[in-house]
Amino acid sequence: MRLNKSYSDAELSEAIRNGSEIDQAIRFMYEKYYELMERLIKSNSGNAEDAEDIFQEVILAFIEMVQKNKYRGEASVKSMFYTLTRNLWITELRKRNSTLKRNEYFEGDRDVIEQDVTDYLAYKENQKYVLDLFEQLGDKCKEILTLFYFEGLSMKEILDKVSYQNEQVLRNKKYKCVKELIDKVQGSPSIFKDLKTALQNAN
Amino acid sequence: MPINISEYQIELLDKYLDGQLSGEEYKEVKHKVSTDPSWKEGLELLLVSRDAIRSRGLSQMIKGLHRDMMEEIKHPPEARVVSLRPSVWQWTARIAASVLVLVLVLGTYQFATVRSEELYQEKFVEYYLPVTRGVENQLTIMDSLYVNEDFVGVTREFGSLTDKAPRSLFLTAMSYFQLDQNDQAMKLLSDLKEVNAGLEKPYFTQEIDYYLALTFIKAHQYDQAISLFEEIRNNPKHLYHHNVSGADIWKLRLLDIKE
Repeated sequence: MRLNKSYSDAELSEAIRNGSEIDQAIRFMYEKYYELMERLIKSNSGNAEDAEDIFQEVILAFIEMVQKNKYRGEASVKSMFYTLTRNLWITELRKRNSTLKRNEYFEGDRDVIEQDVTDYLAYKENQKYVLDLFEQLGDKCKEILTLFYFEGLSMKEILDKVSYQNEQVLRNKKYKCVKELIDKVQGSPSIFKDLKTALQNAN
Repeated sequence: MPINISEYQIELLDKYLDGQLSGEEYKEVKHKVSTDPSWKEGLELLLVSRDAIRSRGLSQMIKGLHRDMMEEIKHPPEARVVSLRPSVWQWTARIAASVLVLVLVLGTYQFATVRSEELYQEKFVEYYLPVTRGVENQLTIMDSLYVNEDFVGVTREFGSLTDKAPRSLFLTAMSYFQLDQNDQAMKLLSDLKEVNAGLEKPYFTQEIDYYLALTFIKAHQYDQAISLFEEIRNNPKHLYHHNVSGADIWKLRLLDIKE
């Protein structure tokens, strides 16, 4: 195995927060926690494929929680991974077995981390609807919005990658694309309402 | 009827979120957001949309790295093969001597540093009651107590049961395990092992092996932990096979000698 950079819990959070070493941080998390979480899922009715799917969601949720200051080192990173894996896996099991009642396993005493994690994951569940709507946009829109909001590129940098006459035309296109997405979300009022509630709980 | 949000509003709100407005413009948008429902809703929609776009980008980035990392984790590159020629015997002897020294140094180092608590922490895997195994998905009182991590409650409930079924025995043993009451955990797990021996469909056999071994480690009874770890290690189909390595058994042997 390639020797990747090693981080303490605090260094890992910092690397994720400032975003400069996100690639290395992800590699480190795989090396350190993948097999552990795979065992957890396999010993609870899951298989290797389930473990791979859930672990990607765990990494995504953990990074976002760090970036949004929802994780501030109150528990170890390992505990966070356990809590995220457990919650995501139980949600998945519930989807597969619709007769299981929601919250059956999480009633009673819950610590702050558990609550933060479940609130955040509820928000992520609702966000999936927005992602489905985003996928319905044209390829050009998806590219521009990703380059701008995810890659953090300037209009000038994006102009080098996509063929538009000038920055103003590109800027207009960007806002048209955002409006298209917003209109789609507004077109599903129940989704937007759930998402707003989940967003409020998660913040 | 949805509120219409214009592209102009979106542009101003986008700049507002990115801190790209002048002082006056910023105050104006801030005021509109707090007083005008269409601006408030526009801001919420924009926040949700921006967040979803970022999340999608990050998710794709993780997917890209995932393939790489799984390759590294599941198929680590094999050790480099050193070609042996008759003319390199001397080198071989030197390498062998170096390896021997290295093994001795490592062995001494491991002997000095190996700790029972650390090994236990490394091997510890939290046990969750599998949700798909419940009888018609109905939780018993004991199940609920265990799921809610009321381990003392589980042991109390066990005391009040007249029919001590294997499932109750197991959950009570696991509760004693969680409470670090090793003697009781060992006794119940061993009892269940005996009960299982007479059953056509034994209960939790592989879980018993693993958690009994962990309890032995906690109780510093290494010879018994070694024997269970060897059983698990030698059975590729065992649920916990991948949790036990040769190095773990070696560490247990060192602990056995040391203590």
